[in-house]
Amino acid sequence: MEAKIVFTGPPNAGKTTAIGALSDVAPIMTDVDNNDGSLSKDTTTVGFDYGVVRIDGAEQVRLYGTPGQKRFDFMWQILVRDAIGVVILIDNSQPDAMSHLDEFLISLEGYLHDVACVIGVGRTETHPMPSIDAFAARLAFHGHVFPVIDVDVRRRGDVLMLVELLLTQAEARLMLERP
Amino acid sequence: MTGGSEWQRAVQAVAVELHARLERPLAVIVATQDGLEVGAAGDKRLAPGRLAAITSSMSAIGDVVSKESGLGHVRCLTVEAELGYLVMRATRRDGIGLVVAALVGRGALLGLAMHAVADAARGLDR
Repeated sequence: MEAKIVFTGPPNAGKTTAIGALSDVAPIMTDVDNNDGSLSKDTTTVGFDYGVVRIDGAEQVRLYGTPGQKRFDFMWQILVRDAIGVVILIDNSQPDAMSHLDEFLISLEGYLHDVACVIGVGRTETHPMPSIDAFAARLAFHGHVFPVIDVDVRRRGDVLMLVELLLTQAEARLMLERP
Repeated sequence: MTGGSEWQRAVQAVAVELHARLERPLAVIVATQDGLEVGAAGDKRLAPGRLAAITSSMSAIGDVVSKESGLGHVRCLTVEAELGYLVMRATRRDGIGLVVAALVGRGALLGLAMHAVADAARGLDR
């Protein structure tokens, strides 16, 4: 069965961009005009993004992106079902980047103990704080140990690294679960 | 966000009018395409803000399915459930994309509900 990975995170974190950068096919998107004045963007995802990528010419991975706004949290819960891993993208240029991480860790609490997870922090070159270490410490506060890396989601290689980290974690989990 | 208080009053009036016209109405929601509630009538226990977000997601997904299947833009989405129907229709008002959604009980005639929602959507369109 093909692996399913979910990209989630707050609005503007780059979920749609990440899937577009990595997908081998034109991604399916459900973007519509944004009417929320608190977001500086023209369009926003309200359903999901979808793409597929074949890693090293072998395993095909299905990529799903969630909407970012809290009012769409029902889609977060729907999309993470049967996923082997979750990428949480954080935009470090937003003033409350750390609280965004908290929000997603709390909302996905029921899933994160059973699936692989990676945190990708964007725009660190212009906004280095909070640091990667600070995000890792916050994860530990929530009882999680997940990789945290800085990423530029426009770069295919960066997004591929996030996915490969997830797949590695998922394989390690499978090995541990085997009798 | 939208066209001001007069704009919102007009949208709300359409929601109330539609609710009054429906058989066995449960709730009417008018949401922006991106899931913000701009009009609601009926049972407030149904959390209109949350329904607004859900209907916008469904409308967008329905549109993608229609286009991917070669059917063009979606006009109307219907959910038939054990206890009733949900009818959704996309429209625009002053350049803002909207979704009109009506929840009616099982005893309602689906065709009439679809017709009433289509009328409301046309009434909003300008």
